[in-house]
Amino acid sequence: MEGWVSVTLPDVWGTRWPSHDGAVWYQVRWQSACPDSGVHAVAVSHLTMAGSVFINDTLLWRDARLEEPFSRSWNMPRYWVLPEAALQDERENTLWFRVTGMPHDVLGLGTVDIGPPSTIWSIHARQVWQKRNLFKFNLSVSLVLGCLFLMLWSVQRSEKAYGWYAMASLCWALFAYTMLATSPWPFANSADWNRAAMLVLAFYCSAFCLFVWRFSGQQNPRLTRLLWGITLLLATVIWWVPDERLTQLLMIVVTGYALVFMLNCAQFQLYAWRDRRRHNVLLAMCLLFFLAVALHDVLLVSGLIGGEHVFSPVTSPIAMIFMFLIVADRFAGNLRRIKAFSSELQNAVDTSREELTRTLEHQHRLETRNVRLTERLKLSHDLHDSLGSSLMRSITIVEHSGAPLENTRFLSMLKELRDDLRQIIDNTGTTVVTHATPSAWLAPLRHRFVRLFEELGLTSSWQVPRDWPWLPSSVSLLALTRFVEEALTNAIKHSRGDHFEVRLQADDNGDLHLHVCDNGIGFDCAVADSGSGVGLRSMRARIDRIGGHLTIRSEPGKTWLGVQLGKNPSVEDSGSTSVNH
Amino acid sequence: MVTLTPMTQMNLNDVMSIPATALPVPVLMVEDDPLMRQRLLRILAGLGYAENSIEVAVSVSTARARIAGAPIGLALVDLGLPDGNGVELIALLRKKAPELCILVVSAWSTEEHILAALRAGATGYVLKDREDMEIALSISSVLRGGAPIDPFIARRILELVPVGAGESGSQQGADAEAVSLSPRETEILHWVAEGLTNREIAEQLFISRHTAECHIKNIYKKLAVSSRTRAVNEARQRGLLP
Repeated sequence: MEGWVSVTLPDVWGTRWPSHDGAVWYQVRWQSACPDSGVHAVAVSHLTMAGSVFINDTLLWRDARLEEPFSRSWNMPRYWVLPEAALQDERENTLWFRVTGMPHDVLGLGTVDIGPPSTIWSIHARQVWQKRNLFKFNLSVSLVLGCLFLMLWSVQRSEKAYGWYAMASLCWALFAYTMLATSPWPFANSADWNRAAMLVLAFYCSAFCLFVWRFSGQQNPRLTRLLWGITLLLATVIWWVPDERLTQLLMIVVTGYALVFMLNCAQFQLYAWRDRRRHNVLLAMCLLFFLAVALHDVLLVSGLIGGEHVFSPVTSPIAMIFMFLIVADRFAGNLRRIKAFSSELQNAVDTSREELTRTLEHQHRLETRNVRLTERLKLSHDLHDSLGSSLMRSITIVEHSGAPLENTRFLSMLKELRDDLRQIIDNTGTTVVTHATPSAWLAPLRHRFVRLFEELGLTSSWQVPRDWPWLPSSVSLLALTRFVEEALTNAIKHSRGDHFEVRLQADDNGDLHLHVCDNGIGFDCAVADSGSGVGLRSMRARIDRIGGHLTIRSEPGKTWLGVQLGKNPSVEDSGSTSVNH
Repeated sequence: MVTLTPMTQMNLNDVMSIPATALPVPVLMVEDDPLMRQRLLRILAGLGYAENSIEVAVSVSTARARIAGAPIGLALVDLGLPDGNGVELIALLRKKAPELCILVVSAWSTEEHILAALRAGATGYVLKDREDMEIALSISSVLRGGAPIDPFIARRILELVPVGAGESGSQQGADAEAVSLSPRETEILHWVAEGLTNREIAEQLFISRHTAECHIKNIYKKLAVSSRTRAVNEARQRGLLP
């Protein structure tokens, strides 16, 4: 027949008639072996791009769109049961395929099987599995992986590898969609659709390379810039490439990216060989598998080897298994690290706590020792200043008196020593003696003597300021206490007065003045001071020692003992006590 | 120079003139030091006690034996005894006779010892290292119903015994009320801590001296109760009491 060429299906007519622009008819004639063989069914593996099918003269089926934008039936297996009415009684019937599509595309017709439905249906089902379901599965898995890693990356931005893997997965999902789409929507023509599909593949390869590099910690900054530079340039330029050159360009670009992908997979094998940590080995195994699949598919597509099916669709589930293994391994590793870190931290905390306890204990011991030392020092100071000096004075008196001393003299010396001791004990007892205010300081003495006065029917008046102008030292207070005690005891015993006065006040210079007065018979100061009396002399010595100034005035009806104590007593002044009569 | 002048001596005798019939007898003196015993005997004689009305115990055990016998009018107890502490004797005496006058005679004692004696139920205390005159005055004061108290003791009691919630105290338990100080008692203790004597406090508060001393005796009783209550609480906590 004229114009007809015998071909073997599957057939691609783009290479045969490169300049042809329009539809091409395929005519498939067959003869039933037996006229009563019953119902006939037809399975068509694919029809690139769009077309219509006739049985004899009857239209059996046609695509939705037979001009731009063409329907895309290139990966869609079809199955029909041939209507008996359309079949001719003769044994010979003809199937007509009108195939059309964008020029320069790889237009043609896939395999056509005719036979009883039971046989043909199983062929059709296999084709559906290979050309549709496998890609749908691929699409779902890639979407899930993409979303999962996108989430991982968005909560942990430092894991850049996860981000790139998410991008690669989503690109792969888009690529799977280009296999499944039956119309070029949202593009207006098939050429743009092809451009987009190629870009998706280019982005997939680039993102995948970045993922591998980031995952293994290889920086390759120049290579990264180069790869993405080319990809982005391509993404811009491709829209201006004329349609008739597009197919050739696509072939070059796809081959190029496939090579990049395979090189990357191969390079990582070397890397994992050097760094054999578990996640590297896992990824290397995954990439080795990818490499094999890609090699096979490239060879298959370029026609260098025979075979029916590309293996790329099965990469997704395998990739999923490997990625999950890798993530689980990382997760477990992190968990181990955290556990190790916790125990390390616990150890560190325990150690420092022990250290701290030891330091504190040591510090506490030191402080206790210091306090004890200070107390002991204060006590010995007090002992030395009051009891010690009284003792020394008594010894001196006994030594220097030519004649044996009277009993009363001895007694008064002993009693003075006892009173000194008593004061020290009262002031260094187990309790903290409060001298915070003058009245608190004088309270025990006041209480003791006023009670005595009351029992004896005597009267007294006590005047103290509300607060100290400055707080005298404990030794000074001890001496002042003893001064008051001594003065009052003497007055009770000897003065025969019936009113006593104790007054503490501060003058404008800040000096303290402590007076003890009575209205008794008085005494001769000169005699008392130089004579045999222990009381006045020891009192004077005591006041001198704290840098105070003792003044004594006495006349019948009025005896006055006063101590002046400056804030910073000068030792030179201490001897200048005076006696006025 | 140190002996009391005739005038002072006379004063003292005036003040201490208690009718011999009013003196509580017999006196139990628990003291191990012979010199101190002689001194106390002299002081008691000065107060008008006949020598045969004074019974002497030199140790805890002999004192125990005596306490088990006939009633006692006045007890002078030293704290540091060769075979034990006088505090247990005070507790024993107080248990036998709630109204007995018990005086602690303490040597160089710290306030802890005096507080322990007061908690055991002592009526008052005198310090050995004071002049005879002061000791005599303390004893006669106690015999006339007085209650000696020192500023440092007052301060310690204020720290030890909780201050009652005043009028609303009736809502609390009987125990808490019994051992917490009333506002008036707290006020008195504050004045004592400032160095005022019982008479001065009485004048300050416009009450009789007798009332003021009753308050102080009550405070001592509360001190004893509070120590008992604490012992009971402790026993409960340790499961010794229900």
